[in-house]
Amino acid sequence: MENAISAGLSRQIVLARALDVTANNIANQTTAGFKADHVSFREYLARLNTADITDTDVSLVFDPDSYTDFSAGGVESTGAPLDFAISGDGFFGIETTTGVQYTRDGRFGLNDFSELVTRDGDLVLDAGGGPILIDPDAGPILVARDGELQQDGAPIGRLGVYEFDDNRLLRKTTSNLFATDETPTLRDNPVIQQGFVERSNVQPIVAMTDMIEIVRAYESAAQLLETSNDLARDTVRTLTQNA
Amino acid sequence: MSALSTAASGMLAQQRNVEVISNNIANLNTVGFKRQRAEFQDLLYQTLERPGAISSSTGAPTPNGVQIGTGVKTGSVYRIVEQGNVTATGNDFDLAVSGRGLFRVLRDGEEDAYTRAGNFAISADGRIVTEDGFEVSPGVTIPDDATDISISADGIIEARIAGEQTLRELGQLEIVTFFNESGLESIGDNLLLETAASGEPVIGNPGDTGFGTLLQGFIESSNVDPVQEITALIAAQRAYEMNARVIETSDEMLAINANLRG
Repeated sequence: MENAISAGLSRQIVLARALDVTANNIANQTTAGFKADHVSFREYLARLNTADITDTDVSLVFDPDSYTDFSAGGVESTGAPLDFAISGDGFFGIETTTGVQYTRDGRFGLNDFSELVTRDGDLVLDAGGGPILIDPDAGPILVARDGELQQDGAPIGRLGVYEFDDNRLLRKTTSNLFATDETPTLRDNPVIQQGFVERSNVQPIVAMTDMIEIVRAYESAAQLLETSNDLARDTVRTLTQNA
Repeated sequence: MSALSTAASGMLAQQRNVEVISNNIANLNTVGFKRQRAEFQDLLYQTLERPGAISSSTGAPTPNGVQIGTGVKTGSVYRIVEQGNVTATGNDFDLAVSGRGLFRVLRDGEEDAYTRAGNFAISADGRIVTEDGFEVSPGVTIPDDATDISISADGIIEARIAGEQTLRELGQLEIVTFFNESGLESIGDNLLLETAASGEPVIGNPGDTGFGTLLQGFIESSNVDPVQEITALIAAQRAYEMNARVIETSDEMLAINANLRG
């Protein structure tokens, strides 16, 4: 009897966590470069009576993984010359106070030293891992599709686009950044679009239907708890009547 | 359940978004106005299990770990400094900057301010002033018998003075540029102030390398695009609604718990 209760409870715990993840996706549906998270459930077989191997295992559920969907978001035209979107794989490298981190959010600006920075003021790295210095007097900044920045026809640096063998080893920190202990490789022929930003890859409709599924499943798990509770009560009642 | 506060952060962000959009729409006809954009960033993540940690059941490293986000914040409200359209007015003291550069406005006893709004006028004592009566740097006095006032693309002010054969040069208007123009601080009245983020002002004459040129008899319109703003408004409203639905859903799940019969 307790099996049903613990199975139902394990389901409710993971569903509550799934809702937290879905809520974060919905909250970030307008965050540039945001990548949606999902929770995967796994069955956990608990053998209650270890002495008796013929005893049936109880199937519980737990969530060992939340995984990030790294698929590209749509691109949005902004017309701002320092907005960049990467087509295909790769990340911009950002020098933060806690080491190099990576982002798909290419909304950059200049700091008071005329270096290319993120909105938080962290330096954007070039292909060699150094800062990108822009001469504000040298005319408009143009970016060739391979990430080479040019002013007045003269190259001034190349935006670094970094790739990883396994994106799953990136973990989200904050401010649209990802941190990792892995060493990236420089992408050979990146395609960069200037004047565009990558939108969040959250699909609001999918997130809403996910949410409906979660709440209904939560309801049915609660039903299971109630049913097993009723069953226990009925058993006690019936047995005491017969006595 | 953190979903409640996550969704609340989402609603707050969209509310901020609508505030910025409505300010843009309200300033559709403000001379020299630059549209703004609210930009969002994700908040901290609760890492329950780090990617690459060894899972206890199998001894293999978990590829993903468990990370749960806690919502969204407004990272910045960014001013988009692209050129607005120039509109002809025919007024001698209306000036538009084509390209980079802002007018410097001398405010009595206060720090200098900067503006793209070149709808100037002449004061009672012949000085070129902004709509609010602040003198435009470096301060040029126009004699009261001057006619045919012309301001060239490189900022030289000339006028015909009664009884003189040739045009007399009265002065030279200057403009300033900043490394990071988006980093200036808005103080209302179309005025902007220097900040640590904008860098020091670089003073020059219109037409110098890296500086824009002046157009006399024109003003620079607001660079707000109504179509873009309205579509952004619709998107913000939908996003707000969805976050509200998350709150409803969390509430529903909490109600299920509360109503469990013992």
